[in-house]
Amino acid sequence: MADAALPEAFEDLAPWLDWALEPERARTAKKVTSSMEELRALYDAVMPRMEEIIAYLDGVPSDDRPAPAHRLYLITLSLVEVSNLVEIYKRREVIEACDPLHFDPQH
Amino acid sequence: MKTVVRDKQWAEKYPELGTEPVPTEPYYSDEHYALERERIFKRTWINVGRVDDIPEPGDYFVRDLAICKVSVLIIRGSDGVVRGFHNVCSHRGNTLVLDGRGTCPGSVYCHFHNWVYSDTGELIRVPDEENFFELDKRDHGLTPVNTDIWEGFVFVHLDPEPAETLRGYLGGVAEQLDGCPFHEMRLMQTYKVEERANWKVALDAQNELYHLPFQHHLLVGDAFVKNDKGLIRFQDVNLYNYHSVWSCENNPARSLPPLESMLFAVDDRAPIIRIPQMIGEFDFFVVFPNFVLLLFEVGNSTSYISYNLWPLAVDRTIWEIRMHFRDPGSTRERLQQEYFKCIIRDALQEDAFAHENIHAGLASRAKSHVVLQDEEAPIRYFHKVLEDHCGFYRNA
Ligand code: FES
Ligand SMILES: [Fe+2]
Repeated sequence: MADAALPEAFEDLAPWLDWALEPERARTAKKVTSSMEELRALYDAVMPRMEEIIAYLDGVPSDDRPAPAHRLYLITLSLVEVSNLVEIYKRREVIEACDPLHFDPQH
Repeated sequence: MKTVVRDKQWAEKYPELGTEPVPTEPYYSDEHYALERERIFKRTWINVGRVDDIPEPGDYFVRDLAICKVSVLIIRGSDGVVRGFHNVCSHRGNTLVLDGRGTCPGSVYCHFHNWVYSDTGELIRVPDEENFFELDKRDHGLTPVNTDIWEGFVFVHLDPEPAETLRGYLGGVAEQLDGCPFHEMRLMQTYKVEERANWKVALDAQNELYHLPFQHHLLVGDAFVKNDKGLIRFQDVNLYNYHSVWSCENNPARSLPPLESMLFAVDDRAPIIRIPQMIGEFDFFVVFPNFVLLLFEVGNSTSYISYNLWPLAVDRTIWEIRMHFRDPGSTRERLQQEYFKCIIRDALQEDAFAHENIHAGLASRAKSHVVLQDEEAPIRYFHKVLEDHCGFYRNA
């Protein structure tokens, strides 16, 4: 199915397709405009599937991923992007750091 | 464990550093900033990038050394040689190349009257040449800037006659890191962070680990070996001619957050690729004045980050951060790198926030001096080298 959004085994992650973003700055921008509940929902949905996702992506050439596999990969990068907030800070307020978008990734 | 968690060991190792408070004026004084321009940035070797930034003939990048009001064009010629030039047209002084990086088809031309230069710096074409007066194109090539390379790092020296070779200038840093496989690690991400802080505020704030369990207590406060009071101790501090390195060991007892533990807990690990030139498991080299090489381990491999602190004004700096990793051999390795990139980036965002606050406090002139503890010895050394160059107090 060329037009499937995600690889078949991961179709249930379709609600998180709006996190299939690149480059990094797009993921950061979505992170900073999402609520803690939204970040946690992404985390709770994707984190338990990580071993399975990694095994799947290892079977796909990393320099030439079909679009569905690439979207799945980008969702895992978004999980990494938000994981500090969910696992470590556990909140959005009172973080003594600069605006994350002030770190301008260059390409 | 190699770390000796003893108090005041660096003052013992380097008694010549002294223990006195360090004056704050250099952080905010316009006069000091002018001395830094003349006696440091125009008179030392400054890292401007890497050869990997311009892999092919005709590739170039432009580096604005704002403190010196100089724009340098680094270009790889058709002969493969990397050269540096003032980015200034020989006709009426226009800035030659306007974009920050790119590739040129063998030549670059000026946008004002289309004078054309080869990628090795010679003037090769002048529109309406016959109407000039005895113009010999051979006399009007681009003005070279002394440029040299060490382990793939491109340095420039604005003095037409540098007092030292790059090799001599790097001294002990080069001896320690010669042969380090920097070329095996690829640039994954560059951040440019503009800060309302003096460049030395930003550098000094990175040049110690005293703050880690406090300012970064959530993110990386537990990353390194500590004493029984929970305070970090360096494994080693080494001072070279102008430069320094502190090294530390990872804390083996650190408890990992769930994602990190999931990404890193595997039994089928590839053999660990270490860098034999490293001193500890995390080495922070400060190459005077504004360049940092930070080598560290990620999973079963090693990586490095470089910083360039670019002064724009006495109270404005661009902190350029470049993160390099080896080509990942698997999805897991790629995600380990992404994880490290994000956690380090987020910790540096805590730093960036602090830099501006520290600068504001210093610039208020409430404090004439800052006091440093033994684990802040690298900062003490940096300020000694700074004063050795500037002579701000010596001549006062
Ligand atoms: S100033 Fe460059 S061609 Fe005239
Ligand atoms: Fe820090």
